[in-house]
Amino acid sequence: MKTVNLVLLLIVILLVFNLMFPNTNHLTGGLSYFFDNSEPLCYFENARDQRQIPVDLCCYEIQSQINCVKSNGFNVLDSKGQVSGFDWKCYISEGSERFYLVNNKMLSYCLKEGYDVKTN
Amino acid sequence: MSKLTRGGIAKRVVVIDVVITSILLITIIALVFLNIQSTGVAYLENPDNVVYDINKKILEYDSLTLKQKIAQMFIVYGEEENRLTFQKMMVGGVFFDARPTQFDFERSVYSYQKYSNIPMLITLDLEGCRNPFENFASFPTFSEIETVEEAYQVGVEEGELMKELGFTMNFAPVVDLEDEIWGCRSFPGTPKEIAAKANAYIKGLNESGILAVAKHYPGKTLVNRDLHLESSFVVISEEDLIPFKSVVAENVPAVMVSHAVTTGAVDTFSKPGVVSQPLVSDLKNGLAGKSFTGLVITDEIGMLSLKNHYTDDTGWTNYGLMFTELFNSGNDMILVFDREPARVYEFIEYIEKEVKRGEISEERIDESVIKILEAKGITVV
Repeated sequence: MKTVNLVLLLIVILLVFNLMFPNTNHLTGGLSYFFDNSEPLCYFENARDQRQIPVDLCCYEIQSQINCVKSNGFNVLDSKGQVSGFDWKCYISEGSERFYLVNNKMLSYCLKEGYDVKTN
Repeated sequence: MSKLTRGGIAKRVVVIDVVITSILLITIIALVFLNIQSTGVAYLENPDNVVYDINKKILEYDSLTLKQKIAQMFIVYGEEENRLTFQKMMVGGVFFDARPTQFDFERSVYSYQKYSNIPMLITLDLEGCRNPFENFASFPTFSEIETVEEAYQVGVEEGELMKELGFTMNFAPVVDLEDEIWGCRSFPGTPKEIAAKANAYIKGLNESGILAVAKHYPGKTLVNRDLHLESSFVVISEEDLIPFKSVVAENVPAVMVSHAVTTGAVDTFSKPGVVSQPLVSDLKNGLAGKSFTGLVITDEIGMLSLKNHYTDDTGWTNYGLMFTELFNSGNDMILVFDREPARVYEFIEYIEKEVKRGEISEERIDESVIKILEAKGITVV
């Protein structure tokens, strides 16, 4: 009986949590954004042409992609030199020459702002 | 005696356990109810009130409730799990992002369209450089289109695929003079060449049965700016307006308005474009020396450049004011990609409340809804 009650109590806690925080992405995004001191970075690559994308436009674009996968080791070369530290690659088609590269700070910013970014 | 006591205690423990279990079960039922209610749309009824002849495509306009009319002015984000709710709300259109396969598109579009009381606009953003069909079809980016003939051909080919998949509207072409951000979303050439390519592309889409949406009025939406600013402030020149004047003169079915705050040839008086009455009014009343009778569509309203204009230092967003200004500035359709149908329903309720308070006139709503229905090929009686 005690086990049953413990399970029921857990369900109650989950339901209360869901009622108070319906969008957990928003919450976790906000937390990781707060603790991450780096600058948000977002680059768009089209046939090796790499361009930095403003933060608000970036969120809108990466939520339109089919998937964002963790991808360490991506660097881009722009007018200021080499930029490194990208954590995610977002794309529609996996082998496409067109994709977005973002760092954790950027991703958590988008989640914090309520964008529905699909991460694998 | 001690046996009896132990028995009594055991019985009491069981009773307490049963009571706790009952309380927890009742709490769970109440919480499930509250969770469902918090979505705000659980009790939406089927829109059986609507009198629509599906074969003749004739709608009795007065059979629509105010909420349903307002919902017709929304284009929402098309996720399968929200389909029934959006169909019950009777939103005017649905937007689809990329899907892995052609079949995924066909299935989603079919289920959205098939079970809607009146047809929805089925929309997407196919601009070559932004290609939701990338997994099974490729097209040149606009920046690669060199000639007017090529623009027409791309319009035809993209339009045919869209038609095959059940789409009715494409949020393209971009007729901004330059795309400094992505580098591939606008046509190359002089303003007049861009206008000619845009018209050819629109003609190609139109011949395939797809409504084109020229964007982003009044231009300079894709210019470089401070990467950390969440709003853009730009100066519009007469040159920026050349492609817009041209496509309006050629009767483009719709124009999308940007969120940029502009001065110069088009002044939004420190407001984002979509909520600027002078901007939308100029577009509708004389941009090309004649009235624009097509649809005026907002850029997506969740974008921070618009939202932040109505958000105070505490993070509170005044949606009531935002929607009043979005509607009163004269937009016909509002793009809202919030993934929660409850939020969309809340927005509809905001507007209904503002109409009842007299802040938005019902005539303003009717004017747009009739245009939307006619764009869908529906006869309104």
